[in-house]
Amino acid sequence: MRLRTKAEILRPIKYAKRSGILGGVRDLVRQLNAAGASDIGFIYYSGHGAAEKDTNINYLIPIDAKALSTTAFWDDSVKLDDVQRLLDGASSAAKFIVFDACRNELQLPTKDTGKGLVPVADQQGMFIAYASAPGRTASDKGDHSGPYAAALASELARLGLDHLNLFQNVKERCCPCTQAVG
Amino acid sequence: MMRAVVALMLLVLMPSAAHAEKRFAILIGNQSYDSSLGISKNPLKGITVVGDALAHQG
Repeated sequence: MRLRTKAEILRPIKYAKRSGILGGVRDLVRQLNAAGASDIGFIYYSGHGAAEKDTNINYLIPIDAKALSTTAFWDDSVKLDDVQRLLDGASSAAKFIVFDACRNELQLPTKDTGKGLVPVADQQGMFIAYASAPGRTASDKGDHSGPYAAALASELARLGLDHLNLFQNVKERCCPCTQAVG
Repeated sequence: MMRAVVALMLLVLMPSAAHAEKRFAILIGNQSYDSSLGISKNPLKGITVVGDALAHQG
């Protein structure tokens, strides 16, 4: 696993709307395809996330999202599937998505909303790490960042771990602080 | 399925002397949502600490 070695940060994307999130993913795909074979793409998302109960689809919630009671809430949000499909365009690269979402401050008053995210089958060449277990929320507590971000940063700084060990360690470090189970 | 994914990842991630691997990252941090969605105060700090860890390892 080479993830922990130096990566070029394309640009931090803050307060992102739908087009900002998808545009960032497109930039990443463009860079990966320009760079050539056996490269690595890494997406870290921290913000609100939710799963729609009726469809079991996972969503990244854009910054300008409004009331949850409307179907527009879902239509204006970003499907994790769409992020994955865009990333498939970088066919020769290994891709990592870290989903530090479903913060436990998220208020979801409508009954058709499953708080948290449903599991997604990993696609070939793609690894998805979740800060929270399916249907659960992730903690937003911590002085400097959420516990998942802090655990990920310190595991990235360690040498000699492959990516499966790395993400397993992050989970173990993180779990006492979050409501995640299993 | 998982085994196939792991095997593929190992292949893809295998270092190659002929090709210097490049790594690219995008970091997305969303906070300050409409108050009806609840407050989260750490995502921007999160992308900073994760970004620093990714960028400064060598």
